[in-house]
Amino acid sequence: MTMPDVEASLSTRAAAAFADYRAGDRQALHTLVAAVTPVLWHVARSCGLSPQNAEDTVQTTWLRLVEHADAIASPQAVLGWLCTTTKREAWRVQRLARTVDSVDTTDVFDLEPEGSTPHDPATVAAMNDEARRLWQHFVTLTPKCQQILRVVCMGGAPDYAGLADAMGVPIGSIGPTRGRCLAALRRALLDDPDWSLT
Amino acid sequence: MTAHPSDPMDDIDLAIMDALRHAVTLADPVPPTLVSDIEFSLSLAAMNAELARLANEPAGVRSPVADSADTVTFTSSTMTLMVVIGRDDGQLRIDAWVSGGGITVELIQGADRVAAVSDVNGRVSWARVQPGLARFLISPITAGGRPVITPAIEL
Repeated sequence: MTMPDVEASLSTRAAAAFADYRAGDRQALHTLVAAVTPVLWHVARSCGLSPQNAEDTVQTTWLRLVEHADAIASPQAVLGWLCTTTKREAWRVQRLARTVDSVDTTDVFDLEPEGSTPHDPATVAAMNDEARRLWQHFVTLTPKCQQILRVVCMGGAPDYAGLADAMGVPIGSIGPTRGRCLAALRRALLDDPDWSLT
Repeated sequence: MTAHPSDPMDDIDLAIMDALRHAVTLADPVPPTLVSDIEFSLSLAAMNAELARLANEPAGVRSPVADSADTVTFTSSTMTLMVVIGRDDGQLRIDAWVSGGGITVELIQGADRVAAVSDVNGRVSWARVQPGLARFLISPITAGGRPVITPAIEL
């Protein structure tokens, strides 16, 4: 069994676990689920799904991975595949909820999320000052920027570009460069005299 | 201070992303049962098991439900399992009746699985059972049949 460095990036750990799983190690699937599910939760929620629909969507994504495990080009592609599948499934769930749409050829990545990031207001109120102030600036960003940043930040720095790519924004928009969304958040924070990095 | 989108990320950017991850994780936490629910779905899919349902519950219960009743009955397309939760010298004792003798039933609590085989009356039992969530996995009753797994109940 491959033993990735504990400090390895999410995409590296996911690739190693998926390679082990495809080689017949069923325990590696649990490792993969535990590592990547938090990111997929935020992908589904960033698409505007309710908590229950987001849970169902993430479950469906994992079932699809098991069904299609042999069709994924390389283990390194698995994190992106999971994020993309979650996003497509979230889009399908939302289409079902709306039902009124007729033929729609819009690509999933061109859909603008509606409104601001779903969250629990009571939890936000209970955050420490620094986190709450960051959150207040975050929710003033465009819905698209909120969607991208909340998913991309769930990885470590080496994962940013890959996660941004999976969310349908061009490579280079965030990681290794700052990108438009993070630049906007950074400006808002640095202009706020009450915010400081601790 | 300027912050051009095309600049390389610096330490401030990385710190903002870390702080954002912290805030997002607090503001919209992953449900605590999501990972175990997914693993349960995957194990069902892997063994092509049928999910039994609690008798007297509406069909299509969304997710495994906990029930603290002392007698619980599960049904599937091929079998019925009645579970009686008793206390024996301060510990839990589980007696269950399944539709037939010689059927293997596993009591599953987390990673712990204890198998028992039903007697001629269809009875299986487990002594000294830990409290907590549990499921039962019933081996196929007919050759070529599907195993049946129950939703979780609180013991």
